[in-house]
Amino acid sequence: MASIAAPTSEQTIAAARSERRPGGLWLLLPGPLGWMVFFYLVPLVILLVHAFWSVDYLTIQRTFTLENFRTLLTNDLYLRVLGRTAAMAAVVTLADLCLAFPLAYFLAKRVTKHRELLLLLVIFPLWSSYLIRVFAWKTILGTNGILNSFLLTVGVIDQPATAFLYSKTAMFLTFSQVWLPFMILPLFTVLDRLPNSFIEAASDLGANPWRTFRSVILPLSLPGILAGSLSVFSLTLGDYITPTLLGGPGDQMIGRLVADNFGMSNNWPLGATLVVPILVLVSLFIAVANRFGALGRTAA
Amino acid sequence: MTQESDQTIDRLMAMEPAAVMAGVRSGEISRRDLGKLFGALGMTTALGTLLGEEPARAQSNELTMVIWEGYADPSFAAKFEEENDATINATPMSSSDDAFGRLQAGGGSNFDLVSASNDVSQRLIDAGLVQPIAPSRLTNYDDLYEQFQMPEYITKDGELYGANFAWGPTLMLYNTEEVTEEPTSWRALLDEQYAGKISTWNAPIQIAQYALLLDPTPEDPYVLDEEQLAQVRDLLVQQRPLIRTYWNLGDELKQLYASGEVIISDAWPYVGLGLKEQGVPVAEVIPEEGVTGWSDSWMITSGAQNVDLAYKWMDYMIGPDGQMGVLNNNGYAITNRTVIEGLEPELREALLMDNIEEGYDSILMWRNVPNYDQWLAIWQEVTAG
Repeated sequence: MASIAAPTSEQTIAAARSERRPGGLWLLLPGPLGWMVFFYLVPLVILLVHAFWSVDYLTIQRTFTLENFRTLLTNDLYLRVLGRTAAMAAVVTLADLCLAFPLAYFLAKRVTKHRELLLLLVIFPLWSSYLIRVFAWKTILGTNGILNSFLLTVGVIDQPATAFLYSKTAMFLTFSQVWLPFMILPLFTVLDRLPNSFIEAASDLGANPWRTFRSVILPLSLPGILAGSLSVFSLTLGDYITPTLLGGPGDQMIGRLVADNFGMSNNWPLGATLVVPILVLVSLFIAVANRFGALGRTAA
Repeated sequence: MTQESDQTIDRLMAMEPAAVMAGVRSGEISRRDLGKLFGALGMTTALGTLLGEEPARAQSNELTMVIWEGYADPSFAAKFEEENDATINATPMSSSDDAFGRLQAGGGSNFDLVSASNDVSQRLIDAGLVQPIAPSRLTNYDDLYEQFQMPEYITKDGELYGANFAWGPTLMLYNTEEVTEEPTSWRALLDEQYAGKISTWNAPIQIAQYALLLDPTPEDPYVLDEEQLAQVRDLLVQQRPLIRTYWNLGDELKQLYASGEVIISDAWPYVGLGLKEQGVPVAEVIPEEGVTGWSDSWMITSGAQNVDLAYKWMDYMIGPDGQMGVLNNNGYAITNRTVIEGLEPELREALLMDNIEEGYDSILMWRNVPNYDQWLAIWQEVTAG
């Protein structure tokens, strides 16, 4: 190296850095890596292998078969439930995006005092158990629940409405509420880093607020949008607690079918097969998000 | 379980206020209380994972069991715990299949006991999840009516696998203020005038109950051919839009009645009894088509850690204290001759124990269903829509 002409400053810094980097850092890796491999990767592989097996009365037959995938693709129950699940996840993601964006923008650009406190309030609901929050919705939406009592008192309705609880509406409301912080936080992060001067420059150059939003704010916050959407979409996609507790007959989602096959039906191979479309959908989303830099430094 | 569901549960655990979990661990918040809360939610699966009840445990004085609700009620279990310096850790099952799934997941070593019904007991034996028992170790065994000593559903190759301790029917339950005319047929659960106020138990074995409505009536509601199964499926699909929600646990159903969500359903006597205690106006009826029902036995799992203690519990439950406990707490019929003979005649009659053989035979008792995988598939198809 010394024989080559003077190194660039970048090279010098890199070389210096590598010299100073403690070799012991590598020792930190086996722990988390081992954890991920043994408690995440290995179980996932075992799960996927099950998808190619079958069950005979009580025992799992460990011979390769594509029968489960044939069942998945030919039985319209699974395709219908998958479609319903994906639609619910998409609608919830969209709703959370519409709710979270103005709030995140307000927090990032308008609030100067008590910012930490307000952010704390955003994540405050996460301090209570997910089950408790779902159950709270049950007491709100029930036939004799808070919402019905209110509407009766105000005089909007004269009979308690039964349409709130045990319905897709109930699931939509609950999902949108419980996953909202997962959308707000990444949006806040990108908007907080977006220099105010960009927005000022846009307006100086004659752009109206809508144009500024469309051409400056939106493209620059895309990584945050995708990161938040990825969280909300995948959390909704795999959930089975909310559909079980608040969904009506005929509203069940794919997570519930997976749980039923591992529990009630004792058909682990079919349960494992039903996981595959969920994984494929989420992987596709991750690929798209990654393409737009949602998983890179900008969003994190 | 999906990767996402796992994440959800992980997240749940992370979010759970440390104080609450610490409270549960230290015993300040009893698992029973928490169990009741989640039980009411029908979320026993999630609860088990939350509290880490599923992993295999070392020998201790803690007796773990999967039970039908009420089978370890403190009203009678506390005495056993005191006498044996033991603690009981019971997880309610939402159906026989739920219990089977739980035991299967742990290879029979994650619980000591299961209160298995006669539809799943044979499956548990065949899967090697329960172990044979020695009746000589049960001091109250000889007091059992003969028909409960070695019933075929808990016997294999001449060996006994359980202690039969309770039985009863699945009745029709209704709110007497909302349903003014006493229903006489299971057709009431398909009646449009109760649309949106009906519930039915989320268990595949209920197919037998709806098979009673077929014309012609099947000879045996547990032996259905493909055509009969398809007819039942059509009935259930027709019923689905009228259903408020399928109930999973008895405590959940109680809540559905108490909060006015449901006015008519199928139910175990446990539910009606509890609602009457709460002052909810309900009545039970045996529909003209007849009723299905169950017979429950304590079985020791193949990997049980506390076999001696499990035997003691079994013996306690077929003895006077356990028998009266189940009778009073759940409203179920029992199996111990000496205890039954000491009961008031009215009570015996009300619980079909006037003449045990006749009373028992008047119920279409659950049993191992030959083509059960088809029943499961149909049930899933109907309830998941």
